[in-house]
Amino acid sequence: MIIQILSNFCDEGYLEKERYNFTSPFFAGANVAFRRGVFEQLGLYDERCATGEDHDICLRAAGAGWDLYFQPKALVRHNNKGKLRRFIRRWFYYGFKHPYVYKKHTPKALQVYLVNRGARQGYLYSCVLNIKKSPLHLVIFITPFLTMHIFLILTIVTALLGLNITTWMFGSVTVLAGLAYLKSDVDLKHPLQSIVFAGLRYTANMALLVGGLLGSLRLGMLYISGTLDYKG
Amino acid sequence: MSGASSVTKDSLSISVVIVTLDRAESVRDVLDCLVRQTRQPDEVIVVDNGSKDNTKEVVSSFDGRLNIKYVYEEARGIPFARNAGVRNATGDIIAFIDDDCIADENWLKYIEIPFIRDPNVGVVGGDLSYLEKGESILEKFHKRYMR
Repeated sequence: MIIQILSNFCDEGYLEKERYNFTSPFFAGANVAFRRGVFEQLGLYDERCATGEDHDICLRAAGAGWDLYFQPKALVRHNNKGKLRRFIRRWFYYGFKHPYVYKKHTPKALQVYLVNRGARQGYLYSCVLNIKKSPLHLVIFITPFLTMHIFLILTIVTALLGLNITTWMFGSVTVLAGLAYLKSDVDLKHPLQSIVFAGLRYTANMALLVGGLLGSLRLGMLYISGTLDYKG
Repeated sequence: MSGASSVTKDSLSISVVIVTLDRAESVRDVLDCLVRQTRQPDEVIVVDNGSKDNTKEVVSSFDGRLNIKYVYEEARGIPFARNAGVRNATGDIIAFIDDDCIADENWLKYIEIPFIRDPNVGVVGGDLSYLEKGESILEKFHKRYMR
């Protein structure tokens, strides 16, 4: 997952080998080091990865039995001089190109992942459904962002059909999911900044989701991406 | 076993690879931070992925301060450029830092430790944060949500 690098790495140490899979954390290409033997054994970066080459090589290294070690004291600061248009384009592009890495490492299956809030060391998602012989290659990361939109659509549909009680029920779930989604943006001391942050995060998430959908359709699968979460 | 070919050593040599495109001044900052490392890199490779600015001159200006190598990679794209870096690197450890980043002065010192301690450690990742100077709302957003 793209977002794994952005979240929840906490303590120095080994990434858990027995839990290592596609949704495990990986190290961003901006600050990572390899033992020469890794490249000698596995070959180089996959040049078909327009982005996510860092994720791919971490997955390959872990798969070959190498240990991955998080060393927070080895600190690098990033200078992100962002323009809004570039910001949106970047998240769309991450979404658009990432399904390639997913498909490369995951056999055809129907997989559902849930956000695991109490996760440590970046293990943010748990696989709750994995149907291996699915005719459809489909992966869904269920997040407050996605829940909010699904129930919003259901609310609109039921309202159009005139189903009043159901509309209220779906509408309530939409509001609750929306509040859960916005929770991390709210800072009562800075109300204006909270609104801007919420807007930016919403925009990035939407760009990621749409990018993932379009990128995965090109590869004959459906990838409903996870979201950009507060690192808290 | 993957680690079997690696022998535990007291010290390892480190090549630092920087991939860049049209960011000469930013590359200068990265190279400056490498000069200041408490554990000096044994080799620095700057892979130029097609810059039209003075990146090459900036790299040359560090001759003597760093064991530095300029590599030009025509094939555009991050993985192509990173691979050119790996192919040119001679170190036991190959460390990557991006061209718009600044490493803490103990960066390489801490990167090296897990590799020395355990021969089965193949990959070491450090922490990423955002430069303090960013004060636009988008930069504040990055600082809060990403690293």
